[in-house]
Amino acid sequence: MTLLRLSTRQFRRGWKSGEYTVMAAALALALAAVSAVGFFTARVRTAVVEQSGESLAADLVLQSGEPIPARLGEESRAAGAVTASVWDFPTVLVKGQATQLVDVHAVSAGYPLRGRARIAAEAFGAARPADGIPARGTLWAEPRVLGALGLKVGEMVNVGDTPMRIAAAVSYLPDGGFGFTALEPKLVMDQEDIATTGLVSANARVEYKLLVAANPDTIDTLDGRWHDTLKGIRVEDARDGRPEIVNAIERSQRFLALAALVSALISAVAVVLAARRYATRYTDAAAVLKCLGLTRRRVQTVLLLELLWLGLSAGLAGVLIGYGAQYGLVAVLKDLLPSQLPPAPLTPAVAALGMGLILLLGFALPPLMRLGDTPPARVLRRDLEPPQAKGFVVYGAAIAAGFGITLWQVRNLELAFSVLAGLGLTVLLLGLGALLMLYLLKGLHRGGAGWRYGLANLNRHRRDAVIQMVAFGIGLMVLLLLALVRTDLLHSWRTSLPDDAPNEFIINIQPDERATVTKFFTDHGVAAPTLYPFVRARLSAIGGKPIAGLQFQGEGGKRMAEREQNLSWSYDLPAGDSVVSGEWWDAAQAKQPLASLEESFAANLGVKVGDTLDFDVAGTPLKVTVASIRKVRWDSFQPNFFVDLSPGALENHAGTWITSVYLPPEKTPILADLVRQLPSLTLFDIDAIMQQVRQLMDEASLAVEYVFLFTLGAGVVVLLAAVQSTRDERRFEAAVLRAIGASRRRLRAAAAAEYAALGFASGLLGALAATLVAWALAVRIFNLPYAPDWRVWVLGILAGTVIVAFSGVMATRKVLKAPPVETLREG
Amino acid sequence: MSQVSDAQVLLSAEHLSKQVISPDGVLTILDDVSLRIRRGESVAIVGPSGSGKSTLLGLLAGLDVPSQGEVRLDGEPFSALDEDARALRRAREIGFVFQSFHLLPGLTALENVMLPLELGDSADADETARAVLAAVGLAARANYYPQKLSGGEQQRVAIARAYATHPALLFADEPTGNLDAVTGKVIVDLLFKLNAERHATLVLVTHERELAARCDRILPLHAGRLA
Repeated sequence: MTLLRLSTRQFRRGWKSGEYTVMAAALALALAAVSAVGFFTARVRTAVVEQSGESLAADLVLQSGEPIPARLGEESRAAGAVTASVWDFPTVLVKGQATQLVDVHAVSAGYPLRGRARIAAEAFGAARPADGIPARGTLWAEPRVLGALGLKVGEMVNVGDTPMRIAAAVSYLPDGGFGFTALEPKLVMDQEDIATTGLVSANARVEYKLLVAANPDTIDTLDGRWHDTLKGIRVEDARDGRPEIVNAIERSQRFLALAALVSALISAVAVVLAARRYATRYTDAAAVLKCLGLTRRRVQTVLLLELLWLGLSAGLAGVLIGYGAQYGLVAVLKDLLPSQLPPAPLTPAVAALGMGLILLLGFALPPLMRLGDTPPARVLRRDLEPPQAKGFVVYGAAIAAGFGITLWQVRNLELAFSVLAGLGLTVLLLGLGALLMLYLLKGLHRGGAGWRYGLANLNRHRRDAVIQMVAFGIGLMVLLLLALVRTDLLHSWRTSLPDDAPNEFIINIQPDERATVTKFFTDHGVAAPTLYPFVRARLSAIGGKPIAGLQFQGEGGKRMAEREQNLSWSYDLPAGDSVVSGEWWDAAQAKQPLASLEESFAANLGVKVGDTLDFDVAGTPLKVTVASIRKVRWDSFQPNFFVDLSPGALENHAGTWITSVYLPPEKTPILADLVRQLPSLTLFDIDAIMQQVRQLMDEASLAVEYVFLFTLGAGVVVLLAAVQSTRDERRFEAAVLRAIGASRRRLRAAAAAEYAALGFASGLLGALAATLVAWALAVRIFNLPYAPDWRVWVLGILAGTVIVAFSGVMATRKVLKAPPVETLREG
Repeated sequence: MSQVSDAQVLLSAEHLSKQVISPDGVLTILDDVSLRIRRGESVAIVGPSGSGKSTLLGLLAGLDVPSQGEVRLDGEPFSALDEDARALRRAREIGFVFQSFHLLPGLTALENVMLPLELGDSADADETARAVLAAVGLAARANYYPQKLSGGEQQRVAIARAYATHPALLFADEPTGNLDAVTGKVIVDLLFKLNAERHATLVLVTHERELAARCDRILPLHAGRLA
């Protein structure tokens, strides 16, 4: 109880006198970064979980690329369930010369079985719950469709062959998904109208869904009966959540958590510096306490309690800042998130506080614990010091805490090791760079006294200077990579593509429409595109063994094996592809049932040349032998296939055709005429998709940049900690210099020179590191030509110099202000 | 020494030596010092700078351990105990007044005085501390932090802290060393007044003749040996 009181009193006073400011700031910053990400992802996760009941618009959904057998609906209804059906497929809407790819959501009466759709009388207007489904001959459109085609509610639009009236703007669909999953805007219509539109022809790409809703017992029975037993049909239970969305959230959480982790680890450096300074200043008090009869353990208990109070107060402040900061993340990512997010739960706050304690125990406790061994005789002889903390204790605790925090953030042992190894290597390289910078700065001894004194100071506190340069260098490097290099790489890739790389994909071309399509383009002065056949099939066995009983490498292999496959056939090796194993078929072999697989596809399935694959093509079995493995050039923008078959293999199977074509901007309006002539065609505008992907990337990386801003904040706290750790020395030197006639202005100039040089060097290091990483990414990973971006250097050096010089001068202002006589008397 | 009966002796030292390792080799600071201090006695250890006064005080108070010899407190081994056991005895039986006051800067004057009482689990720490503060004339400054007090006031708080637990033995290391002459005199008067009132044994280290003269006995120390 006494120790508790003593610790609270000391803590209260220490807090007031600013003794804890830097340590508290470091801790608060680390926890703000971590909890901002925690709150944000928890909100998104809760939204997804809360909506999962209705996110399928049903309790159970059966989904397939083939029509769902009617008996399954009958079975459900016989068990007491209600059902509805949904067909999803892409099509192109045309208005005048404008086209827009949409996802048609054709629904039956009763949809949605769970949740309510919300519609409005105009795009983004006041929404109201919808009664039932769109009336026959009408549709509901998402605002994006209306905007792209300049349409208004009440107007008519052609869907396939049929003119339909837009009855409402959709503002919410229970199963509409959001940003993560839905790229194309939706169009909702009655399934009964589909027949008249002529959009769904044989072999069209349609996802058929049977929605089922019932009481939990019935759902259990049906789910148990169907799960893993229906061939080619995926069964989703709403209670399992939406795994693809949960996965997407987990991936983005991990990425944001990594960004927050860097801030936390840099803040930990500030915590160590501040704790060492505190330990030094507390040594006298520890000696007095021991003199008054406190045992070693009780002195340590007092310090531990003080740390606990610090952890709680600074931690709570950090969590509050984090709570405010997550609104920034929500604002940055608003287009990708559900429109309504629930309030944040408390769990991330508790988790962040726990992490704060680990941070303090690992980084601040070891330097403080040795105070328990302060010789009490120090009250008589000030030269008596507590023994140095043992290196293995200090480093061991820090490494354990650092690893613990990393593991906590990334939740994957292997990733934690990789992250720490990567970070360690970066720190090592930046540290070496910082030493080189200091060596070079040492040579710049010409100039005014302030400048020389400032630079000399940097080299005198070399360890601190290196720590600060590395901390700022990492922050700047990451931000430069995200802000500039990312767009540079994208730009390089875009410019590396030929000017006439196809920009439009056309699918769903029926065999009898091939001639029309070819003629259409040649009539409009466009080179006749190559048409590729394709059929949809399911893989049923590998090497004669049914895939249900096979083990695959990870989830990727399983997914690839189970999903619907697009098979094509060709006499010649597609342009740009190269065979890495086996041989492409010659004219004679082309009559045999052979296959050529894309290399990652083959690796995921564990298939080699010579293995056999069994496919089910619309109920007809097809057995092929793998003749070759190919490397595919995906960015050729030609239709590429994981599985290419020899013509002989597929000659008896009907399919549709696909092509890609380059249209210069002035010719894209002709596509509207093509769709009018052949309404069942589906067009994908690559430019529009790229634009959208790019927007997603921009928003996502803005969110990561936002979190990395904390890293720069952590750099500033490290600087403050370094200034604080040398404050007494600086005060004394400033007093001596002033006593011998240096003006305050000159001292300020020296401080400005010191920190400007430090900032310049940090910026230079950050820019150099960002450039090297960019070069490695471009040349080694993406095989792109790399052109250095001068903006990286200008921005890095400018930001580094300004931020560090400003923070440094502000931090030392008080030191320089102290009256010299006071300091000299104390000294 | 032999005339003093064992029952009267509160603190004794037998053949006490202290050596430290210095850059020039082993340095002997105290050399074969033996002494006995009776209950209620006031003793001044005097000597020039570097004679080993503070080292002797540190050993007698159990703040440090001798290289050779033994310190006994109330007839029981003291220097032979480990640091934690000595700390417990200090808490119960010993008070300190230092040249540089050694108040905890994070605690108010009152809290500084309460500290040893609370460490000894005293039930009325606040009341007792206020009474002692009043006795040293600082009732009005109870809630001041040390840096807001003058040197003389800080030393008065230190004296109040030292006497708050009614220690049997009080060590004072150059108690007036950091004070001007007038304040120093006030502090010394206070120290002796409280010592008399509370029947404590006082061991004082000083190089001031006048202060030493107020003690019952003077032990002159030269080059680590009692003269």
